[in-house]
Amino acid sequence: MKTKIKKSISNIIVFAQVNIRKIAIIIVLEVLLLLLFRLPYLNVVGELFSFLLYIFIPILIVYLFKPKKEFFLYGAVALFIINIPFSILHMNFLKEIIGNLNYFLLWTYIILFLIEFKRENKKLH
Amino acid sequence: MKTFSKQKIIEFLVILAIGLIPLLWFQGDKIVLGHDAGLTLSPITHFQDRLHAWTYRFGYGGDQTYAISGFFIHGLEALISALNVNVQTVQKITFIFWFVLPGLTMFYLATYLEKKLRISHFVIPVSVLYMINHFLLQGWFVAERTKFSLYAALPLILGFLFKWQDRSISTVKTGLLISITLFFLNGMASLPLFGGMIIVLVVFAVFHLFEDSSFNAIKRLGKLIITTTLVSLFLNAYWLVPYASHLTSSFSNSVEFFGGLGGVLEWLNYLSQNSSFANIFTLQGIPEWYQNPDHPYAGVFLNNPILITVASVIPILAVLPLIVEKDPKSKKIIVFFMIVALVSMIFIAGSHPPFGLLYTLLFKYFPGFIVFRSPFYKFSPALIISYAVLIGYSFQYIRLVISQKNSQLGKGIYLSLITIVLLYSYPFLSGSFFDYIKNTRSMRVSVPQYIYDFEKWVGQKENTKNRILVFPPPNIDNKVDAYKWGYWSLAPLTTLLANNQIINESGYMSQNELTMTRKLYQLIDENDPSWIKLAQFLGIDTFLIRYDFAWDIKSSPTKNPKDYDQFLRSANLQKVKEFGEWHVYKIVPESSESDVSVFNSIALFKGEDISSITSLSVFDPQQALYIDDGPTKISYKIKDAISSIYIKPDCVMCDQQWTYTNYDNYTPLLRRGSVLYPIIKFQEAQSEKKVSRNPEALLKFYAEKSLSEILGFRKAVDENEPPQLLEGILGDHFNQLNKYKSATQNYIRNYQFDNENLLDIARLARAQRLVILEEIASAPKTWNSNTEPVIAALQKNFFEVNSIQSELEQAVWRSPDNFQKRFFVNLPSTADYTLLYRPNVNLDQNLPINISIDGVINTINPQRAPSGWLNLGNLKINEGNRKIEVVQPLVNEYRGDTQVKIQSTYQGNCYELGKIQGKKDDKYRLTFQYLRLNGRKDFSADFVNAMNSLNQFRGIETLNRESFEDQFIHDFIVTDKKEDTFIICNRPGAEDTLMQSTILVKDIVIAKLNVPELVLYSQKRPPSQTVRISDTKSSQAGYSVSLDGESNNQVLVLDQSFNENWKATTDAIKFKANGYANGWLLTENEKTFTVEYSTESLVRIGFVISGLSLLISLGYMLKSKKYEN
Repeated sequence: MKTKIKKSISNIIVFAQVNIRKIAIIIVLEVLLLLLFRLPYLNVVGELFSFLLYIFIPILIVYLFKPKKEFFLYGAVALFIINIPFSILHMNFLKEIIGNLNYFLLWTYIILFLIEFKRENKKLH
Repeated sequence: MKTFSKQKIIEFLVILAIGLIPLLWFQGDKIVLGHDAGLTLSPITHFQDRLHAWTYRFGYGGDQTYAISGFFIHGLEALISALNVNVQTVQKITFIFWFVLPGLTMFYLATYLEKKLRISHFVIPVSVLYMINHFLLQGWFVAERTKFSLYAALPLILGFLFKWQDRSISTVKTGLLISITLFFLNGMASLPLFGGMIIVLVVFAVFHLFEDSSFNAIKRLGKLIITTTLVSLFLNAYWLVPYASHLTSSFSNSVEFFGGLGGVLEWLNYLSQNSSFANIFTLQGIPEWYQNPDHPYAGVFLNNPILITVASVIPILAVLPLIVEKDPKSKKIIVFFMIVALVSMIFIAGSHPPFGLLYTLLFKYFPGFIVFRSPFYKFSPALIISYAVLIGYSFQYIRLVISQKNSQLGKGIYLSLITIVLLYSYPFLSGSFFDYIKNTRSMRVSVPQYIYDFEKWVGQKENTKNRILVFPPPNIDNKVDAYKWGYWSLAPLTTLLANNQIINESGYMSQNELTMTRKLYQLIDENDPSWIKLAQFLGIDTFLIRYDFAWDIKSSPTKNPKDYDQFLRSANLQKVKEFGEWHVYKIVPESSESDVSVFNSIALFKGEDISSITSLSVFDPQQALYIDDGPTKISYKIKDAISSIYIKPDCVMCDQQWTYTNYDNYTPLLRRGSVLYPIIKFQEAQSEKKVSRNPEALLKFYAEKSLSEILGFRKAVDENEPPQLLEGILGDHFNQLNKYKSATQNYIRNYQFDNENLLDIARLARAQRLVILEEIASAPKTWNSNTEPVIAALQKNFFEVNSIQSELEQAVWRSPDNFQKRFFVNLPSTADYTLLYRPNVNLDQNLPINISIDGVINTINPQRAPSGWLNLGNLKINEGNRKIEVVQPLVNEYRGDTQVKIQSTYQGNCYELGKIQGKKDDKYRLTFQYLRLNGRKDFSADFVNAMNSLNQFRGIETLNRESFEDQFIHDFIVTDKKEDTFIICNRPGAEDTLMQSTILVKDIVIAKLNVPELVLYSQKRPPSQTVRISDTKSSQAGYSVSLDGESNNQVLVLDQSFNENWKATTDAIKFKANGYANGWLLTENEKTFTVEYSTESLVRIGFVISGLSLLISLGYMLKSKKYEN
């Protein structure tokens, strides 16, 4: 068990080291978007279309990492678990952000599944 | 013949056994009643009433076309009741039916899915999850059978659709099955309740076309939609046909009922506050949990860490099937349900971010979407059905995985999970959800026997025609009907008892009906003998006094039933029956009980509050009143039939109160200094150009714009803008004021203005002047020499506004003080008018009253008439706009010394000036002159109810004028306490010196700010009755009367709430009579007069169409079954 955990952690570290630029791009772009939505007049857009912030992350992940669709499913489950303490401690702001992120991760999985499903269907025909 | 396996039978029996849970909810003889439940005490009578388009149960009668669709829901209750069982047994059977039905329909869908997904042990968890969850629990609190019916229909319909997709059943048969399902389980045709179903069906259609978008697939889907729609239309004709004629008016009315679009949006935002995705994922977004601090169990679920953890596991279990299912065909079904869940969440969240804007836009711009004003409650079924399937799948998967290692453990875990589902919704097991305010209010009540006794009595044929008024009336604001034995609801209890006309002040009445009913209560409260005339005018002949009414509830107080003891001793009343705490009285001598009466002529009424004229001695109850509401042209035949005129003009600003100006409505969003300001200026210039040809609109434009400009200045000051910018704003304001001034002068001098509009413009000028004064008075302390030009500009603008305001106030016709009461009237004809005046205050009887009409003064010694009216004599007055002024000799209510000197003391000292003994909400004005004679200690004044210590005293104004006498004016509204005292006090303070102070107070006047009534009465010709009713035949929605004599030009009135659909078969002109009823002026001699509520015939036609359609549909199904076999 210990070795498994160690292996997983080292895998994550290796992944982070290899993809540090891509991770940095995602973080920088997301922060930029956040800041942009705080500027006068643009904050109106941010307030009304707050879902843009959440859509942006899965799009960037798909574009930069091209992960398997299951990655989003596991990510969602992990976030559901992470959200438990926030729910118990009534940290509603964090709870809501994670909930929103979960929602878009699940949609990303569904969309990727449907694309694949359609492709397979076409092949069959 | 299909046979079921042993497992299926066991599963079926388990679901039935769980369906017996409602038996746990009934203790002793208690039944579920009140709140929004609509559960009735007499199911059969209630059902019979709902078969008709017109009901007598609410107010003065009303359309209930919307209720016919409740045929099956109420029919079921009536059917059970017909077995001669008591109300509790009816409820037990009904509740079990609605509790188990969703489980059985889900059993059908789950059995299909089990086969499709090639799994086992799936049916029970799915059905249990669908039957027992917090969404349904919230519905069970008010036994929402309408919601349950559609909720139960959803799995059936989805099951049919899956089978149709597999081509197991034909398109026509699927259409028929869906239509028949929705025929029996129709959600009482409440469109918003279809929210969840619409989502499931739309997702199904899109998903179906995504899989196969060939022309054939589209054609097949189109065929299904058309078949379902057509068959549904025919099957539901019994309510659709009459409803179609009612729909157009009812939709806009219901939007208005909820406060228009603005009110509905506010409600939406309020409900969506806690509908975040995080809460919805965990099924914790139920608005009631967060909004009701006394919720019986919400606190436990929101705060207990174990229950929060259980809730947090719910979405993980819902996602698990996506991870574990590998077979693409099975996964496709899982994905379908996940899509349904995700799409439904957008709608359930309502206006909550991140998709709140989308919902709000749909709300504003998508026609009809406004009905979904409570999104959580309407769209949740879609989420629950998908969660039930997904989590049910996870349960069987967990069982399978563990069973592979240890079969017994697998079974144990499986049963434990199902038990957790039951325990997680533990309020289901005790019925504690009915106790919606902990230890205070419950839906479970024991109904006293006398209520049932009253029900029996009132249902007897000889009593059905009585129109009964209840006492005490409910609280005027929230109209709650509550009893000491526990009933609490906005729906009056009497509407659940019988179909009689029992008048409760409720939201079902029109504004006119409500005003008149309130007036009747008021007259009775005041022991005004004219109550009997108004009661007869409203057709009320019986009174029900309820001594068990919970009149002293803090949130809905009303009058103590015992306060009516004196009224009930009235010579005009006779006690006819006593049922425990309910006593029934009747007016003696008894008047005609017929709903249709004959009147000898028409009297024209113009003005507000028709009920007050019934107390006039000149009022003839044999005349039907026709209300002239201005815009509608009076038909010439009605004009000819008018024999007298009553004009009741409004007293303009008699209470001396200006209408409140909400500055938020005028404060600009963008002002000078903003980059977008030029756009605003451009828009303003365009608007100015648009109204430039209309002097009144132009004046209003300047009044609003200049107020907005000065409020923009206030905003800039609050935001610490530099003096240069402030000066700039004031410069703009001054320019605006110049235009405003010339527009005012032009309008007042050259045009005949509308007094009401000018009064509104004067209000805006007054508000603007006040803002400038406040700005000058509260100039920030940081202002220095740099800001001097700003103050100077403010003062300059103040003088300009001041001159505009005086000009407007001089021109407008309004009561300038409490003595001169002014009326503005538009007379339809020149005639001799009798002037009747009711001051609603004590006048000095030794002094005459001066009345002037267009400046011509008449001094009159009035004659006293009943009910506080004064007859000011007859005057010939010309038609058209007339200005009337009454100068009334008011009595000074102050009885103390004419002049008093009040000295301060070190400990503080109070002096009592006078008491006010008024009615609640009466307004009084107190004025006096004062001067500080010596000392420095402050005095202040206030009205207090009772003061136990000086520390409680909160002065309203400091009296510290010492160089010259000043006048003190204070308006005061009487609270619900019976007596208030005006006192002047000095209080000990930290900085107090030993120096004594003295103030002189004199010329004290306390007078009621009265709003008098003036009626101008003129008789054109004496009326003559030439016909009488000899016989009346009636049904629920029709009357036929035989007429004796000459009926031409006579008036017949049906005293049911006015509705265009009440139609006479004879040639007659219809009008709204007496402010609420249906009146007809007969234009020819008739022997009989027949009226019918026209929608009633549509109901009959609809029932025939529905019945035939059902027979044809069932015939087709049987035939196709035979063919298949």
